[in-house]
Amino acid sequence: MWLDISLTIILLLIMLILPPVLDGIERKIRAKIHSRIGPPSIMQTWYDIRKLFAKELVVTDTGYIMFFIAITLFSMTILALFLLPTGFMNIFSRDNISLLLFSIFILAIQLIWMLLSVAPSNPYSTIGVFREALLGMVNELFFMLGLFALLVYVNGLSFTHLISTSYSITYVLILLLLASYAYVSSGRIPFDIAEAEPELASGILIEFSGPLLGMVLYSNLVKRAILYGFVANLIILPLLGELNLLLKILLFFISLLIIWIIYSVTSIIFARTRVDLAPKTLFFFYLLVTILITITWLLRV
Amino acid sequence: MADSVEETKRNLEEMVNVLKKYADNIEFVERVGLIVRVKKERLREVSRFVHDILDSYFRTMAAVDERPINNTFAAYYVFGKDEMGLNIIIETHTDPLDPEIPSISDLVPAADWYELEAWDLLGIKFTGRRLYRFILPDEWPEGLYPLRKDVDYNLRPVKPLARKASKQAPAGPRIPFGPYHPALHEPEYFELFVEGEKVVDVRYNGFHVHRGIEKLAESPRFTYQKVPFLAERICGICGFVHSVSYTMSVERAAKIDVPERAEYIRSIILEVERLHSHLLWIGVACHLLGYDAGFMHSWRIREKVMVLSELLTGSRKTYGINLVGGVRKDINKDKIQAIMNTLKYIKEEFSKLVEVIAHVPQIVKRATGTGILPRDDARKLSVVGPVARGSGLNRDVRKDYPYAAYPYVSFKVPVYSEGDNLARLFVRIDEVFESINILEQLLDKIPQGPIFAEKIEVPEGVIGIGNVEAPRGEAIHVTITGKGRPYRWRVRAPTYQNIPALKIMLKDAPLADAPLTIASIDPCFSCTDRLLVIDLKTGKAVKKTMEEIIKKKKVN
Amino acid sequence: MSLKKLLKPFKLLSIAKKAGVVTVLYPYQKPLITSEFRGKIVIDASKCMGCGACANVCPPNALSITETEESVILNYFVGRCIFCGMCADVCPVGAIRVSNEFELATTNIDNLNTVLVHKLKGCVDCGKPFITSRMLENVLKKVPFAEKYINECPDCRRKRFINIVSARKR
Ligand code: SF4
Ligand code: SF4
Repeated sequence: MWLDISLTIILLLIMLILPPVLDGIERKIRAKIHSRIGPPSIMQTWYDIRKLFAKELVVTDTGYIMFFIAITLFSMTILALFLLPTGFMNIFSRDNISLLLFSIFILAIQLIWMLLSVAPSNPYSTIGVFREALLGMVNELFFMLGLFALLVYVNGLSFTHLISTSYSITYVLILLLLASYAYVSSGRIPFDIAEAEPELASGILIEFSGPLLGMVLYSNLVKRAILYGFVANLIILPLLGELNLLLKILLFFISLLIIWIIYSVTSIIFARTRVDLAPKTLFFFYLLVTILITITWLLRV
Repeated sequence: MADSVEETKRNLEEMVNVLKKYADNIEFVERVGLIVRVKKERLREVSRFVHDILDSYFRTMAAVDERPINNTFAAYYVFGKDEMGLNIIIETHTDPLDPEIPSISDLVPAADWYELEAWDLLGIKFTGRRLYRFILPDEWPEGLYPLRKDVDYNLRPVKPLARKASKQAPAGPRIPFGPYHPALHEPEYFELFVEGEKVVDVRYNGFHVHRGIEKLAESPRFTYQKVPFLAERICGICGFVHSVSYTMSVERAAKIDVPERAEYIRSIILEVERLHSHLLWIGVACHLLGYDAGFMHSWRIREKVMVLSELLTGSRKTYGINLVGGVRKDINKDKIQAIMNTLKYIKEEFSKLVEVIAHVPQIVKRATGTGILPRDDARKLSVVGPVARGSGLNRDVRKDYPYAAYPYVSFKVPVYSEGDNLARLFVRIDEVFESINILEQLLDKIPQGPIFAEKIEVPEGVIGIGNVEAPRGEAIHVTITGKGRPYRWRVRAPTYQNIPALKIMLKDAPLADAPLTIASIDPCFSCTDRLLVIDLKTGKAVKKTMEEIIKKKKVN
Repeated sequence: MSLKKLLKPFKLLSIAKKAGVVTVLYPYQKPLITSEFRGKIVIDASKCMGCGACANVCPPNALSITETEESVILNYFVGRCIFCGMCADVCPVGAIRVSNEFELATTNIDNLNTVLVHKLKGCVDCGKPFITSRMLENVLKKVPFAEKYINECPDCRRKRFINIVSARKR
C-alpha cells in the first residue's frame, strides 16, 4: 500500500516535470533538422516558462475570466494526469471506470481550451476558436467512436482491462485512430491552424502574456504528455504481462519519448494545412479507419 | 538584325506621324526615349492612344515643381513599349497658381496611385476623379505640399491637426493585418473585411514609413555622388537595384559612358542580389505556410550568397560600391573563383531543396489556385516582375530595356500563365537557376579595363530614366538634373506597381491564404514608402520626444 | 509512384544530415567575416591635418568639421556611419583606415564619438589663427615655394597683394 502511494506520487511528479523537458528535446531535434544549433540545453522550455512566470501580469478587460478559465484548465489537466497509468496501475487508474473518466477529462480539457479562446474579444482569437471548433467537430466525434470501439473491444471501462487484451488487426486500427486523434488534438503542424502564427498572430493565444501565458503553455505541454502517454499505454499495456514493475515503468517512459519524437519529426516535415482542407482530409481518413475497424471487428480478426 | 532595326525605325516613324496630330513638339532623345510634349487638354487623347492603341505599359509618372525654371508644374508620364524597348514620355505643363491636370486613371488604371501622390505632395489637382489624402499622414496640415520647391526639406509643421475619423468602411467584421503583423515584417496596414473566413474587401493603408528620400536628395546636403548611398537605403533587400537605377538615370541623362568592366561588375552584383532575394522569399513563403524547415534550409543556402556579397563588395547588404560613372571595387581571379564555388554549391543544394518543397502536400495544395491574378487585370495594372510573369505577361526589363551587361548574355524569361501563388513561386524558382546561368556567362566574358568613367559632367535640366529588373519587378528612376544634385529624383519601386493588384488577388479568397498571397508579390514596403518629408507621429508626448531626439542629434 | 511522391518530404532529413549544423555560437565563437569586410573607420591622429575633405564626401555626415576661433574639430560619430569607406578614399594624407570592427554597441553614447582637435596657428602679421600646423607642413612638403606666404592668413595675404599692386600702380 505505502509503496503504491509513494510510487504514484513520484511518478506524478515526474510527469509534471517531464513535459517541458520532452519539449526541450523536441526543440533540439527540430534544430538539428533545420541545421541549427538550437537552444543551449534541453531545459530551455523550463527556463522559458520560468521567465514568463517572472513577468508582470497584464490584465486585459477580459483578463479575470481568462484567469479563471486558465486555472480550471490547469487543474483539469492535473486531474487527468492522476488517472493516467504510467506502465502500471496506480491507485486511481485501478478504479473500475478510470478509462471512461479519463476520456471525459480529455474531452473536457479540449472544451476548456476553446472556452479559453472565446474569452478575449479579439478578432484573431475568435477566428482561432472557429477553426478549432471546426476541426474539433471531426476530431472529437471520431475520438468518441474510437473510444467506444475500444471499450467494446476490451470489454470494460477501466485501464486494468487493457492488460488482459491481446493484439489483433482491430486493436491496431483502434490504436491508429486514437493515435491520430492524439496527434491532431495536440495542435501540431499541419493541424495548428487555430494558432497559426502568420495568419492569426498566434490566434487563440494572442491575448495571453506573462504568468498566464506560462500557465497556459505549460498546461498545453502536460496535455500533450497525457495524450501521448495515453497512446503509450494503449501500446504497451497489453504487452507487459508479468514484467518487473520498474521495467514496466521504464518501458512506458521510453515509449512516451519515442512517440513524442515521432510526432515532432512528422510535424517538422509537413507544412500547415488550411482550415477548409483539414476537416475534410481528416474526416475521410477517420471514416476509412472506422469502417475498417467495424469490418475487422465483425470478421473477428 | 538589320531588318529589325529597319523595322523599328519604320514603326517609330509611323508612331511619330500619328503622335504629331496631338503633340506640340516631339523629340527623340538618345538613351532616353521619345519625348512628346502636349497641352494638358490633349493629355487624355494621347494617353489613350499610347496605352491602348500602341499597347504600351504604364511605367511611372514624375510630377515636378518647375516654377523656378519656367513657372509651371510639369508632369512626365512614362509609358514603355516593351517590344521596341522604347520609352514614350508624355510631358505636360500646367498653371503655377491653380495646377490642374485631367486625370487619366480611368483610361490607365495603373496611374491611380501616381495621381494621388502628386496631389498629396505637389498639390496638383487631377480633375475628373476623387482625390483624397493618400501618402501624407492624416495630421499633416492642409495645403502644405512638401515636394514643392518653396518648402524646406527639413520643415516641421508645428501644429498637427487632430486625427480624423477613419473613412467610411464596409460593414462586417474587420481583420486588421498590420501595421505590425507577424506575416508582414514591415509596418504596413491591410484591413481585410471578412465574412466568416472569406475576405470580401481589402483596404490598403500604407506609407507608414515615409522617409522623404526624394526631397532629401534635392536638398543642399546631397550631391550626385552621395545619392547612390541614399538610394541604396531605399530597400534593405534590393538596395543595389535602386543605386544602379539612380546612377543609370544620371548617366543616361548626362550621356556618360560607363566602362564595360564596370557594367559587368554591376550586373554580377545585381544577379547576386537577386539570388539572395529569391532565396529569402522562398524561405519566407515556406515560413508563412508553417514549413519552417524549408525556411531554415533556404536561408542556409542564402547565407553563402551573403558571404559572397561581402567578399565582392565589402558588405553583406547595402554594398556601397556604386557611383555615378562606375564602381569602386574591382574583382579579381580569386573572387571569380569564389563566385564559381558558391554557384556550384547553390545549384546543387537548391535543386535538392526545391524538389522537397515542391512535394510537401500542404504547400502545393495551398499555393495552387489561390491568389489568382488574371492576365487582363495584370495588363491593365501594368504589373511588373514575377507577378506579371506569373500571370502570363512576358515582361523583363533585362530583356526589354537592356542595360548594364545584360545585352551580352543570353537567358530565358520564365513565364507561367496560371496567375496563382504557385505560378509566382515557380517563376522565382526558375529565376534562381537563370541567375546562376547569367552569372556564369558574365564571369566568362568579363573584359579587362578601367572600372570608372574618365569624365563626369552632368548638364543641368535634362531628363534621364534608369530601370533595373529588381527581384520583385522593375524599379524605375526618373532624374531631372540640377546644379550639383538632382533637381527632381522620382523613384518607383516595383511593389508600388504591384500592390493595387492585391485587391484582385485577395477578394473572395479565404483568410488563411491572405498572408501567402500578400507575400506572393514579394512586397517591399520600405521601397514603396520612400516619399515623405517628415514622419509625423500622433500625440503630443511622442512629438516631444521626437524633438528631444532631434535636439540631441544637433548636439552631436 | 504516388507513395514515392508522398515520401519525398522525408528527403529533407537526408539534406539536413548532409548539411550538418551551420550556425555558430556567436559571441563565444568568432563570426565569419571575410577579408573585404568594411567596419568602423579609424582616424590616425598623427597624420590627419584637418583639411575636411572626408567630411565633405561623407554621405550621412558621420564626419563633421567644426571651426572655432582657435581650432578645427573633426568629429566622427559612428552612430551615423554607413561604413562606405568614401572618406578613406579621399583623404589626401591617408589618415583614415577602414577597420573590420563591427561590435560597436555601447551603453555610453560618448563612446560613439571620436573627436580630433587641431589647434590653429596664428598669422605672422595679425596673429589671427587660420591654419593647422600639420596642414602647413604638408603644404610646404608639396609646394616648397609656398614658404614665402604660408605664414600669413588669407586676409593679410590679400591685403599685402592689394598693397603691392597699388604700390606698383603708383
Ligand atoms: S581628409 Fe584626412 S586629413 Fe583631411 S580631415 Fe579627413 S582625415 Fe584629416
Ligand atoms: S565610412 Fe562613409 S559614412 Fe563612415 S565616416 Fe567614412 S564616409 Fe562617412
